[in-house]
Amino acid sequence: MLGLLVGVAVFFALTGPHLWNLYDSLKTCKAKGDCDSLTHSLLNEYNKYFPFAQAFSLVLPALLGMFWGAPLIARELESGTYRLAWTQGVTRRRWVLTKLAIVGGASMLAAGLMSWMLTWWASPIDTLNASRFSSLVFDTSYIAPIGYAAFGFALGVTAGVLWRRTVPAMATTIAAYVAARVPFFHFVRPRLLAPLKLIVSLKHVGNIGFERTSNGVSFIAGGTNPPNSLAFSTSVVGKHGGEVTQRWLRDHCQSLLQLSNPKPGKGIKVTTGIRPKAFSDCIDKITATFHQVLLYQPANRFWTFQWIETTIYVVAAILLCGLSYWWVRRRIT
Amino acid sequence: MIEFRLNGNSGVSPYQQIVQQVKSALRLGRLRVGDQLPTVKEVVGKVAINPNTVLKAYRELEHEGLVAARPGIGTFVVNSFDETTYAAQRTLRRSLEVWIEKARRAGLDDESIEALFVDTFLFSPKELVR
Amino acid sequence: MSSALFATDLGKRYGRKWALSSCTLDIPTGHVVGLVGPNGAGKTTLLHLAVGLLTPSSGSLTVLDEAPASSAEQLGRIGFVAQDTPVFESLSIATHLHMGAALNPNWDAQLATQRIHDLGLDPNQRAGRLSGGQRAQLALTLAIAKRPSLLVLDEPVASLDPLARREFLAILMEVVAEHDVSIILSSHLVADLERVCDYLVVLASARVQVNGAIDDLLATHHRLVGTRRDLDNLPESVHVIESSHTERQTTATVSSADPILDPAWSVETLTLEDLVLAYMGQAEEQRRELVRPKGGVK
Repeated sequence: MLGLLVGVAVFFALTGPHLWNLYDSLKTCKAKGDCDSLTHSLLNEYNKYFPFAQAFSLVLPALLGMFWGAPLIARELESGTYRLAWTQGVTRRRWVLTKLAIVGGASMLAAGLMSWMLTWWASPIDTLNASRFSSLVFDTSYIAPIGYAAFGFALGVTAGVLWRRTVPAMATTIAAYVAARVPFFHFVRPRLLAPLKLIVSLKHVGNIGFERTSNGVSFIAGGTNPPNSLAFSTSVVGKHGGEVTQRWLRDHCQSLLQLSNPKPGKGIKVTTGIRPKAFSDCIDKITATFHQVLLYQPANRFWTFQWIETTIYVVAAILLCGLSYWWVRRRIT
Repeated sequence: MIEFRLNGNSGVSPYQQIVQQVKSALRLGRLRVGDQLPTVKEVVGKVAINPNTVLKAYRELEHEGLVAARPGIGTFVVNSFDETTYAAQRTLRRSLEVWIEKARRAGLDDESIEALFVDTFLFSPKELVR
Repeated sequence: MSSALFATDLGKRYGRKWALSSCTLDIPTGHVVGLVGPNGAGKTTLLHLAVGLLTPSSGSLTVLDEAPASSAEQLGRIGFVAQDTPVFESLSIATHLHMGAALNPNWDAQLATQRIHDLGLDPNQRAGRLSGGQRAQLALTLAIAKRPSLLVLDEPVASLDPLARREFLAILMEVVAEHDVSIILSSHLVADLERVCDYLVVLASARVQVNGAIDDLLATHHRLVGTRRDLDNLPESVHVIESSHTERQTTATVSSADPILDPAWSVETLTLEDLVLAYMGQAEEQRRELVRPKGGVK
């Protein structure tokens, strides 16, 4: 486990400086005129490593839970060495608390260091993509991983104490970790604070067009989230209510529906240059009647969310550790 | 220094075996006046028995006037059996060796020799016939 | 303090089954106490209760006049060697000693290193590589170097070969000779206990069958042999523990505070093993009585 951490740290240390160099030279690229190629090579470099780095960071808390948390007490119970450990000159209470504090602290420290390195390493691309607040990037940067590590560790310890055996505890840890994190990240995080609302005219939205479905034709529009924000929902809504339904299209865009495209599901997109009149007429009508409503968490709430989420997970970890402690003291008799 | 050997199956309690072995050593001259008996710790370290057993044996020997405990130093032999018996013992031992050789030549095996001796000894008069 | 272990109606239950019940004992300090009984009789349960690894389901227990595992000092006064002498397999002997020093207030580091040296063990050796006998000696060293007032050992020699067993017991006896320490050790082999113990507790069917100083027990228990007869005519003070009859002869193991003077009986002394077997037999007989259907034919 320790070896893995050291290996990954070395990886970051070795590949990071090159990426930063590429990024720095982007600042002067306008003058030299090689912006496109620089951006291209920067993205390429990242794409080589990024999936691995991100995956590692996401899975690290579960690994800490499995390898440092689950055996913490389970191994002593399993192998019978608790009969030696708990009859030395320290009370069971102190033994449990000390182990929890030391290894739990080490887990949080390890996760913190990894997170710091990954954040530094990926920050050029996060800045380019303005994706700091997006899922997965949020999860793997700054202080959030510290909270997850504490939680993963505590899950491992608790599973170990309840199962009294390391292997089932490890399996339970990773299952429970995923079961807790995924719903949180999908449902809870976007709702931690009331999202802000932004109304955008469809004129400013890219990638709008129509898609042939089994029912007929439906209207689609791309997202235009503000940079470094967390998207909550995107919808196209009428200025006075209502949606772009099949009926509305039939009522207002007859000529469009008559355009034949025998393959269902094939998108008919509006692109510059090719503007069949039926398309542009329909788009103009839609733009006049509808707008896009974005619900999002703005960039300036990023740190607030980091702190809230970390605190929630750390509190959960403390509660789990408390449960383990109580269980060991009272119930393992 | 004397070493004790305990026989768990002999039916004789360990402390009595120690007493007997000390007395036997005294009779055979293996222990003489002034010799030190092994410490309790030394005895139990070789023969895994309760130290109280050794203490009990030493106390009985002390009670019989054969040894004396000097606190902080050890337990020492202060009295023995009659010195003149040593010489007599040597002669008797030699006669016994001759007798055993005769018995062997007559074809007796070890068990028969032992049985013959024990039987004769047990039925011999306890007092000297004058 | 005069009580090594004081239990009043002590019991431990797992679900419906009582591993130990109605256990009342007052074991004085200054003895080597043998706890003997068949497997599953409750010996390990009693010892684990004594060192605080288990909590009682009923009754009360004090060890060295304090509740077990009540404080770090109390834990420091008791040395425990569990069954199969557990050690941390991946740690070296030296690390074990460091751990002992860090976790025990009265640790005697010199004693510990001296013992390891005398045993001929390499301190850098991993504990997992030691033989059974060596591991037992390491566990004993860890317990002794704490300078405890009470040493508790759970079947410490059960899985050792005869030589290792003898060496272990010899070292244990040296410790008793040298230091003022009481010992409680359990075994299901009476022969070992006979040499080493001067106080006996017999546990069978989760209960204490008999306990007392061995000299007293052997003085008050006898085997009676006589022509075949009823045992109801024996005086009040004589309790029959076990009896068997052949066509012509009756043999009974009895306990009696007073000497038995009836000339009809031939009185023999018992070995410790005889005594233990008699009580274990009695317990087994009582257990069978409970299980036997009522009103059935014997």
